Amino acid sequence: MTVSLDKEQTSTIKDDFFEKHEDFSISGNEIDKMALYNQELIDRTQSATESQFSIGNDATTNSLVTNDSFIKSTVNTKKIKTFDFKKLPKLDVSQILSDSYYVDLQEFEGIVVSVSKDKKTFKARLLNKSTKENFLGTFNIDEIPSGDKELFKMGAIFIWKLGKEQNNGTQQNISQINFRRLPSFRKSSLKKIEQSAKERAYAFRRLTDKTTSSTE
Amino acid sequence: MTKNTSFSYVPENRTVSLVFVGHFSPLMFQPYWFSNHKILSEIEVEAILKTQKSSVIAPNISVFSTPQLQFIVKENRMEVTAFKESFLAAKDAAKKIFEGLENTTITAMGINTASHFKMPSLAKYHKFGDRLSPKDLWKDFLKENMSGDNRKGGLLQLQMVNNKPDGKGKQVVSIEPSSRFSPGIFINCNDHYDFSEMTDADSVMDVLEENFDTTLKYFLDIQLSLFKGL
Repeated sequence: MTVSLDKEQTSTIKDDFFEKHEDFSISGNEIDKMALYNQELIDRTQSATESQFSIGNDATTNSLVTNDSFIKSTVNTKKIKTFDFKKLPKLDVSQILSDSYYVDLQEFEGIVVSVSKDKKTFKARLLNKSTKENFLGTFNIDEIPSGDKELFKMGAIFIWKLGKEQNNGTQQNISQINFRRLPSFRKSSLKKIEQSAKERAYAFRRLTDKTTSSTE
Repeated sequence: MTKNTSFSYVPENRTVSLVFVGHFSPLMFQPYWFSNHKILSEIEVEAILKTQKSSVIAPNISVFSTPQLQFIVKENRMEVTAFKESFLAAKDAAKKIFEGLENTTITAMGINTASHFKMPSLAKYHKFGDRLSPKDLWKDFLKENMSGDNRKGGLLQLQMVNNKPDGKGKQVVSIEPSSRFSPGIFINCNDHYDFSEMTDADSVMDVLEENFDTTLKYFLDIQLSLFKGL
């Protein structure tokens, strides 16, 4: 037995759908909305108790469209995206969102230990900040950003970043060196270091004196 | 046979901000001052001045940024933010800023770190919120939005505070939906230091140096612990 749905009933299905998904705001383009709408129709027709029923009139031919033919035609069209999430209202607290960020990043702290005679490469002692492994690496001096070249010298400390950079939907591998702009030692720090050195020297002297007196 | 794959909750788009409360002259902290004091390179400063649309230099506020760092200086507050790794850049920049300003008054400092976490599904997203805030007590308020993956209500923001034993500060963890990922969670952690008795920048920099690494690691562990068993 064929059940007919008139235009009004078909229109109600469409209105119901868009009412249910009115906060559908993630990707609001029409194609995606229609894809979901089609999926909804398929779901409803598949759950219908009647084996076959019409769901409306074809817009171009005005002939009756049944659930069978609709399903077949819809499944072959554009792949239906399923959206399993929706945005909740935003809070009035700004979250810093930079244009790009790093993914799968490894950071190494490096110290320049030598420079090649032709001044094209340099060697550095590297420390993997996650695994704490130490090793020696060789870098091209050209890899140093122009703004950091003034900081390059023996003993200079840098951070080497290895990983991927996510930038507006695209991802690219990165290998970046940035030299640290460290402050000079402050007077208070120098005083502390001096004090610490004096205390250690005193402790060693006492230890030496004790050792000497015990062997006599 | 069903393949069991576990999802890794990874902090993404991390940022670190250092905030100093005190008395500052925003007009002094303009880009050339930063290059003169070797806090930024001349090339970075030239780039800042070229892209002036996101820079403000005025008597009461100074705002500008490089691809990695942002500086906001108001008369009573200074913020140094690292948008991305290495976060040491924020600490180094702050210490260089106060290098010649040891006697500047600083009454409070904040070490803040924030991360975005992608959630694998709406179900996990809501489970995260339900664990933080069980909905049983809210059934009269939420009604049909108490449960289900497509619910239209729930937890919007949560803050947890822990005051320091010495009474000179607190730590705050704030959780809200991520504006980077959907579904996603944004977790902001703040380590606040009150320096009402110790106000010179020199001493504050000592505290920063002592606590920067441990605070970031501690908060990262706290953030990750919120996803255990999810």
